[in-house]
Amino acid sequence: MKNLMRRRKFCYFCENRISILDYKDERLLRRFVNERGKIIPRRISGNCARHQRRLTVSIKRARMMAFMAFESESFR
Amino acid sequence: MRTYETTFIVNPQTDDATIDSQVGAISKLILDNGGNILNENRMGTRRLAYPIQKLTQGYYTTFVYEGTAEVISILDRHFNLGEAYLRHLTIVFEGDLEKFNPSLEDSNDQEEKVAPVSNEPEVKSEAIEEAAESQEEEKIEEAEPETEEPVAETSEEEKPKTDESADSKEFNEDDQL
Ligand SMILES: [Zn+2]
Repeated sequence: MKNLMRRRKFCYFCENRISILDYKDERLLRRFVNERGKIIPRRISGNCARHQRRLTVSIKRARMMAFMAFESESFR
Repeated sequence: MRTYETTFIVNPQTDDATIDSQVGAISKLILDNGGNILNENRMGTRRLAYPIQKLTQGYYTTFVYEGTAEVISILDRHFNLGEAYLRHLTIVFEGDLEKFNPSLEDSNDQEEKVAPVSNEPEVKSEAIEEAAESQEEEKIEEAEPETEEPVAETSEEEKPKTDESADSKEFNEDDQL
């Protein structure tokens, strides 16, 4: 699934006409983080700036609410 | 009055009556303070992505309601009493309000309505959302040119206080509109 995301040319959300992102939709959000739980930069995911911004907000909310893990290497 | 979405987690290992009273306390607070509940969605017990208070599972509930900023702070105070609520988050509702319109006949499947908000093309609320977002976007843009990990919001995950400060930040931005 993650391989699908590599070098996408177009924004996933624009392509699928998704304008509203739900932070509780963990299944969708997890496509945009790597194995460590880090957010995939948009130069790789291909997301447009607007959707990437909404995505990062949603992923952070999802982490706060334990829908998603925090970056696994960021613990000290 | 704005439309808010509050999601919170309680301990699923307690009995059903306790869970009901913890969930019921929230709906009562909303109603008692002039709020109008549009939807209650009990997602139920889910695995937590990381343990909280040594629990690996949490019982999730989401309320969508109209209310004032005062209701939000009253709820926040309640959430922060004791340890009954493992996590809570209130945001300005961003989904499709028509889902909760009682005049639409299909209100039977309410349980499943909250989650798949994202799949529907949204013409009407997009404009509104855009307007609401613009302020927020500017700030984020400055803060994170790479659109990765801008620190402030979530970095201190284990402190319950984090939710609170993140919440109030969001609302302040919003209330300026
Ligand atoms: Zn896009």
